[in-house]
Amino acid sequence: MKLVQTLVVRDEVDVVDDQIAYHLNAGVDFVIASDHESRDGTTDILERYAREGHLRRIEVEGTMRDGPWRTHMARLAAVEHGADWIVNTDADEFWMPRRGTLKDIFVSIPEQYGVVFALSRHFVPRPESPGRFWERMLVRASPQAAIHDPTSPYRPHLKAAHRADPEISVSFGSHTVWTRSWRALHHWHPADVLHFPFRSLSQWENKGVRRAQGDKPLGQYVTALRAKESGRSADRYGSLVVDDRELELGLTQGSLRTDTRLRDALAAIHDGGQAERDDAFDGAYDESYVADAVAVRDADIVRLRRHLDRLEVRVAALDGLDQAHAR
Amino acid sequence: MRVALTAVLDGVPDALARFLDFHRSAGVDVVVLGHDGVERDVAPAVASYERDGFVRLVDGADDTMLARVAVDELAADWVIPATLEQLWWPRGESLGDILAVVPARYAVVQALVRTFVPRMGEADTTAESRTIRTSLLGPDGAGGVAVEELLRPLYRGTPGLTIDRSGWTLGGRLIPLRAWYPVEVLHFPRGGEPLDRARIDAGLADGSLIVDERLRDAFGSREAAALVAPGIVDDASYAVECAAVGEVDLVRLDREIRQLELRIASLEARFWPSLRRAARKLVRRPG
Repeated sequence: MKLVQTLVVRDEVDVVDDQIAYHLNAGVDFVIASDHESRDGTTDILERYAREGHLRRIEVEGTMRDGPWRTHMARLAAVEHGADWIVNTDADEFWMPRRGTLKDIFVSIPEQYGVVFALSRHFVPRPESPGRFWERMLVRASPQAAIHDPTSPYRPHLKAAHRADPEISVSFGSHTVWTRSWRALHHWHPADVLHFPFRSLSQWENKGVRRAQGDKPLGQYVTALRAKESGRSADRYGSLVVDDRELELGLTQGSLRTDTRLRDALAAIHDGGQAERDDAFDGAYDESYVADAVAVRDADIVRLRRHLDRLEVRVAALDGLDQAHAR
Repeated sequence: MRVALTAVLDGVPDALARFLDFHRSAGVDVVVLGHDGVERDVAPAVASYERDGFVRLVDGADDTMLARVAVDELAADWVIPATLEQLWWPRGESLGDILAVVPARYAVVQALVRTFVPRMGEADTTAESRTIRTSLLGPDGAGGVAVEELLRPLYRGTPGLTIDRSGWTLGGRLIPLRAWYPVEVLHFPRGGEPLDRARIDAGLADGSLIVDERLRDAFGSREAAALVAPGIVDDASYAVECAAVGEVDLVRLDREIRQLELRIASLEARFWPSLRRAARKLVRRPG
């Protein structure tokens, strides 16, 4: 079984090396990366992995075209790299199998299913300190109800993995895929995607400004851009950072949870060893799994409702046209 | 980004200056006050606000008329139809900040009403003296209160804006942002039933009442009310309350889908006969 990872990346030097090392260690066989005009050293890291035979780097430029780039890479994985399964990632995402290895979970999926969805778990920024992001970011958000704020980085969502298909299409953010070859297996999430969207003030600011001018300017990025333009970046980012007081409150209320899985895995890799899973820990992580899975379902219902609202407007417009025509 | 608030005066309320000052610090750019024939009484109280362009006095009390003044004459991007018993508190640095990032497709944003209750025997009746309010974190959640009573709408400013208190979306013509309410309406009803100590204690114990000192702290400060974006812990708790409103669930979704199907069926029923008539005319046309 060959597992290929796709990656869209731009100026993520603080995280990309660990991201690739982690996935190669977790069972990924090969990485295809779209490098969007990186200037901060990210390209050098990608080239190193390419020289070692682990990665194919694709230069992309101009306005960000997230979905088309992901689609291109997923098709390449099928056609040119002999992939059986493909996981689609961002540089700040780490696919963590809920049992065994990544390959174990994909091998276990019944033949008739070809699309599965991992549950994103969003880690919160902590006060900056020397060292790597994964050494200090050990807490993730775990709200007991879905946050539906369109500008929040903590909205529940899923990430898609799929069997190889030369005609597949991958959505913006790889939250879903469209394939005629495979059925999707819904409501079962065999992996968590540990997500570290904001790691430092400068990274938050740079990412926000860049993405606010991209193909899909989400509210969280527009917020960052507006804060920078009005000289309030430090205050705005400060409201995202969880300090010790807020941490204590969140842990007590259950809206924050300590999660050391990535730290443990990367620490082992940096020590020169193989990251080992201690399945005895899985029970603790399962505790919030149900709430988070329900939150994803609730978020889907809200998305459907919002979609229905848009359809209603279109029907109302048709209704108006028809009545005008009748007159 | 220009935010307008409209309200109707029925005299000169004691706390009019506080009402205006609060909303100015919360990010309102201009207030349209309908005076409905009491202009002479009101004018001195708002003279300084009028001079600096923060208040526009208008003769009338119609919501739509006031909103259109805000949009057509004062170039408002968003309009908040308020009452003088309400203070609209943004869950962010300012109303302008949070409304600026609402995706363009949404024409209506909804605000969650927080009703502050008077205590039995309380002499001070000012808004900031009230620090106990209702919460949706209690065992009954919304307690069966209708969604329309828990939320208040505010509107994207568009030419010809119509405000219908009984149909915020004008029959589905405006898209509301559902299930997330980025503004809280701090509501201080006049003449509300005072609660005694025992009821307050019980409410605080089961979560249906909560101590909320934001306004007292804001008014107590010499500076303008310091508004900050809430953190994830606060947002997580707020998400539970938003869910308790119950605006979106499968039952409602199913009902809405059925209604839409009926409207489409009605459109189709009108469409095919007119298409047949048009086809017949075409066939009969000579040569």
